[in-house]
Amino acid sequence: MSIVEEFKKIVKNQEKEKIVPFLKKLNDEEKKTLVPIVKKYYKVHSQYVYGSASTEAQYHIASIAAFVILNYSDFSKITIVMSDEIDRQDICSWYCPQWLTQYMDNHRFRFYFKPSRQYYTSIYNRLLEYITKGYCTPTPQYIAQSLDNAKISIGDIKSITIDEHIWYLFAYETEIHKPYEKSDRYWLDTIQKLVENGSIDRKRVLQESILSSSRFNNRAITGYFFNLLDMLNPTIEELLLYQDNLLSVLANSHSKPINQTLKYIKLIYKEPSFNLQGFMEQLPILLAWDIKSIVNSTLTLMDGLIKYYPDSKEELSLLITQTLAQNDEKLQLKAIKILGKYKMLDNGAILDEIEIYADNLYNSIKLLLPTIDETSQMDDNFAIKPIPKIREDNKMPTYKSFDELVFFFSAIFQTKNSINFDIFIANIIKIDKMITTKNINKLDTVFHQAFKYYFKGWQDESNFYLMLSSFFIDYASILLNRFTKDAIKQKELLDELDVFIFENKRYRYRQVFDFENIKPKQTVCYLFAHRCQILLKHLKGELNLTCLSTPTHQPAYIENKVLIEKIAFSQNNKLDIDIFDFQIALSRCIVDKSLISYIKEVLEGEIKDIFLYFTNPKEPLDLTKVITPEYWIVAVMRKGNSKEVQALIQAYSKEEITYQVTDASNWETTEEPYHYKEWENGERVTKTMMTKKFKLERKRAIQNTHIDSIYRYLNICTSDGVYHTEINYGLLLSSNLNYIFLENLLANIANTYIDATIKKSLPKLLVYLIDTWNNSYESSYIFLAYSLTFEEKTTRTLSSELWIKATTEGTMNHQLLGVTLGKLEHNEYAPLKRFTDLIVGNMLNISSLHNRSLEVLLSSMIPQMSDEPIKGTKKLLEIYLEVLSLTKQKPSEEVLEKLGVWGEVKSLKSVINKIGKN
Amino acid sequence: MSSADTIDYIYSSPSTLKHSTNKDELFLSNYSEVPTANLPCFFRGKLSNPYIVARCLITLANVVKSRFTISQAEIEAMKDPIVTVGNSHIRFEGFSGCAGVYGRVDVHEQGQEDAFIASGTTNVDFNPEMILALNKVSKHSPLELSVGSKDVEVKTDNDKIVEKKVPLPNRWVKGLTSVQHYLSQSKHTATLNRMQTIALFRSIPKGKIKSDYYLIKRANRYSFSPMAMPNSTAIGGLERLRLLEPLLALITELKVFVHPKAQSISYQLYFDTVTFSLTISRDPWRGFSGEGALLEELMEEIDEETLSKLNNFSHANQAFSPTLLPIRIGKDAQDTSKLTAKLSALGLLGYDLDSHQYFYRQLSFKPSRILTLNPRLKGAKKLLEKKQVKIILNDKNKIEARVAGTGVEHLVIIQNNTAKCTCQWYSKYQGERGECKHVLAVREMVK
Repeated sequence: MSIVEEFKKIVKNQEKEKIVPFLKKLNDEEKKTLVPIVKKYYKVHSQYVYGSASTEAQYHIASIAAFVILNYSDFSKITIVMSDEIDRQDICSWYCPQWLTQYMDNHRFRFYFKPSRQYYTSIYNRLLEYITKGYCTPTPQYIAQSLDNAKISIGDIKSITIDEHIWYLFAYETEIHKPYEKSDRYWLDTIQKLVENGSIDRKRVLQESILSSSRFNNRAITGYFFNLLDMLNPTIEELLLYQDNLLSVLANSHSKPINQTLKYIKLIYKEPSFNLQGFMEQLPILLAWDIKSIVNSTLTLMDGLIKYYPDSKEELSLLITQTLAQNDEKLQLKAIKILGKYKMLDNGAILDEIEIYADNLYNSIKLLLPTIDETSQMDDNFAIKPIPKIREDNKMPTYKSFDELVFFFSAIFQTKNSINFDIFIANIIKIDKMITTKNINKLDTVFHQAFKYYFKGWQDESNFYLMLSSFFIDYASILLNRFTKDAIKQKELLDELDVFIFENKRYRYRQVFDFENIKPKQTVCYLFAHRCQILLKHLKGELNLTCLSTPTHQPAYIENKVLIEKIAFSQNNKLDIDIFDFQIALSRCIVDKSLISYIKEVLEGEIKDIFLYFTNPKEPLDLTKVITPEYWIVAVMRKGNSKEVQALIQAYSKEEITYQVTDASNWETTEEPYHYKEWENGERVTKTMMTKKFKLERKRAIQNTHIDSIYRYLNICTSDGVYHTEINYGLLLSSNLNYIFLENLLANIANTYIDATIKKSLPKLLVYLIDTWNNSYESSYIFLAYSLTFEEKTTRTLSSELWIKATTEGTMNHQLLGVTLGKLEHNEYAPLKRFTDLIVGNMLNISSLHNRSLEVLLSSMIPQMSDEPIKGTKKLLEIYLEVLSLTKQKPSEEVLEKLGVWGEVKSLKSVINKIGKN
Repeated sequence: MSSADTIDYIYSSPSTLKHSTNKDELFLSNYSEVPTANLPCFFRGKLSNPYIVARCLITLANVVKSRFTISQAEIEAMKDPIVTVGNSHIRFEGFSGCAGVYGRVDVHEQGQEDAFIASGTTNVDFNPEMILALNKVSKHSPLELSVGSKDVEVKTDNDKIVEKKVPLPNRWVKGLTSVQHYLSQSKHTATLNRMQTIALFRSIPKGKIKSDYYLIKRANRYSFSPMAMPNSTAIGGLERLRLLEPLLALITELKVFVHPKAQSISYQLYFDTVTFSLTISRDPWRGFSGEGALLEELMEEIDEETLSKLNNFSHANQAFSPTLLPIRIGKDAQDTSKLTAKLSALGLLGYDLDSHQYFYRQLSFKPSRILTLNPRLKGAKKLLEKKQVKIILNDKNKIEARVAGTGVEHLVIIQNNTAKCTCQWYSKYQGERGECKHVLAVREMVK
């Protein structure tokens, strides 16, 4: 019987007792012969673990054989866990593979779940046995990572563990800090007991715990060892003994060890052997921390140090001035008070140093420092500077030659800029006219990419890319009809597509988008699909299309003259105009009043009337001139005269319609109960928590009118999964009237939950909104207020940038924003701290214009807030006081009335009194 | 793991920092893969600002330990920094594990007592215990530094030999070459005092930052904003700058240097006699190693004779003057800019942002490694070997070619020395990350 057959027989008959003698007699050559069958059998019989296929005995036989026969590479590929049977039969006593240490070392990261404490304990016990018997010499790091989650009762802890292994826990990064449950303090309690009963060196534990802060980047691990330090309650002598190590903790980057060390320093700074010089070296780092408690404790300590070490008064005082770089008024005040207490505010060197921080000082602090001019740093000449939308620096790139267009299209599937989905339409019309039998093959890559995108299957991307891919599939057919012999690549890809569809019929795969049968949906995706549909008709020769809506300037504006020229060209050459394309073009157009005579000269018919009405602010709407209301709707909406909009809509509606410029007036924030179920003491119980809700009612007059317009589709469909491509595309479709889109977006956010993709999209949306902000509709302000208090910081910061820019350009209604913010925070819809931090960090002291605007904003906000002050009101009032002081304004009657109500609250009394005295 | 994928650092003993009552002694153990650079001792002398040097070296160790896109397992083996000693300067350089952050500590002439025994570049052992001990270095206790054996003799005590077998730091070697090129093109855009710097870093949002941020100045205050302003530069992975936070309170000023195409940004901190610079790549997922800024230069091999002449007249840290190059090595003056770029691509030149000059240094890795590291370069050579490049047009103004891709032929057009390709790499990065293999192959073919 061959070796292989013998092995098969042992496995088949489950002869567990025979496997060891069998393996023992094998030479190296024979072992090699067995490698394939052992690998195969291990794979089959290890399924025993999951309760099928083979027996426990067969699994044990296969695992012992694998351990003895296979090399490191093969063994580590087939299993991450060594079978216990290897230990039970003590295989290592007669065969210990050279790779054992390496195997153990490399497999510590391969758990996808955290095994139990019992498992780790068994791993560590096995390791101890292996080490003792000399089977392997694992690295200290591996030992630490095996020990961290093991649980051994104190009486069973071996001396090697106490003498060597425990110290590895202090030296290597492990998961010792991750408890199995909240009350799990196994190692903390164990080490404390070992220290108490004298089994372990207390001083070494203290020192190693302190050193953890320099050793580990992980905040939780250093926090864990500092808990241990705290539990051991070091004496003054011990603290002095390790003071050099403690001082180096102060230069590290975790707050808990620093705060704890500052407490220790407080205990020892009066001792003669205290290293004052060493502590002073760390002070600049401590005073620069952005955690208030650290700076505060440091200042308190410095106060004590100046008193106790008068010789170092000047040096310490100079260091204290560094606190003035902090943005916190209270910290600045505390620093100045300490300097005043020790009469250092008339010291020239100190005053020079304070001068460096003048820009950063609160006005209330400047008032305490007679040498600092309270207004000198502010630019009082800051005036409103509107920035024209049509400029040289925001011109869109244009693609003229065939090669330029080829490179544009080859990058279209990589595009992250939503506007390229628009430019694409005009560029297809352009390149289609240039394609010849000689150059068609230059487009091979473009079609190759489009087809491959489809073949790849579902991807986590916007529908726009699928539509784009489908468009090129249809376009390939068109080109194949036109250039039968030369459209080689197109034919090859279309054949591949046929095979793909045939082969994948039985699977679910996504459909090629059918542009001939689009189902109307009130979303921006429909608008893009419609435009592709019209474009395909043009490419087939069914239409002679023009494209009017291509932006001339970023992010999506059209120069008025260029649009008029394009329309004139279309009229002269009898080109077809798509109604949505015309509406988008008008929506993006920047009105230039000087073009009235030019319009009269070059345009004709109804479109001429529309442009004259649109361009001339004095021209009223004359309904008798309206033949195609779809052409008029955007012009009338853009002029913003409610009566004219109402008249136009009503003229084409059977029922009575009331139109308001903004539909968003009905909104509120409420608090509603949310019920959920939870397991408690083995029972399923219903619990309730209060949640904040944002409610917005849309009347949709403009969307429900019989006049079909882009406004009907300025929406996103949350059920399809929302991508920023859709959101930005929607915003750019209506650059000059984007409040309708924002209102719909807001309603989506408000009426559903905050979808993760919407959350991700908000920063990108705001970047576009900053460039297109130009209106004074309430919806836009609700959206801005919502963003200013949003949970994610980048969104908040971008909203403050929008406020800064719009303030500079004079397009921000601060009163309306203030009222909206006050209404939003009436029920504390979002933590007020988000907004107050934003003011301090980003909106305060930009310029005198911005400070004045901030004063209007806050004066409008405060009266709208609840009579019962919400959390964070004190900080808001402190900022308000600072703004009043900077702008030399007095609080309005409305604000004083609200402050009168709030004055009843003890914590607010002081700041309210100061505001009253202002 | 095959031996080709690993590198052995063999230090004669571990680096140590010994504290005594009257001075601290920092001994940095050295090793170079290049035998000629494996000298026993490079430097021995006192540092005039020991506290700052210690803080900077700790920060450099943090840079080396950090990672922003790769897993913990990949960073297991810490890559030791390199040090270049000579011409009265000591420069320590290192990369983060993901090669997207480059840190450098420059100890200037005034920062040490001149005690240079030899000049050269070497790896130095940065072990955790030595870094831990650096924490205790204070302003007032003198620090004596020695790079290489203090006794100028090779220690033969086998017990003390430290061997670290680590995966070949491909990212390091590639990154070290291309980052110098980016530095040489960077322009100084802002100088901030300590207070402005602290306020600037306070504007970094907490946690992982997914969107781009921009350095802006408003009302004499600098801050990072997610909104682009005219002339502001995009920074991806802003959280990487937090590595500098422990040093900010100690600086005299900060200077910002920006690459004109925003491919890198350098933040250089000044401390009298020491500077610390941190250069970060455009995005956290883009290590400098993947940037192909110098691929075109590497296509053409540099001859041995030129290299040898260069070695003869250059010493480590010596300013490298492209103007003098033709005189010294007898090359055509027109070639010098290309030659400079090529030497930088080979890791023979570093760049000093303050003096706007390259300095000479030979990396402590075998030069053969550098040439074999770039897949795009290999791809281009393969395309040429397989004759998969067809030149359609080649006149003075325009080159047009078709180059085989996967299942399709790409169009390559080079006009006014600007190259474009229809492949995905070019479409995605628009030439920002160096040229694709198709363009490289076409350029080589028309030479």
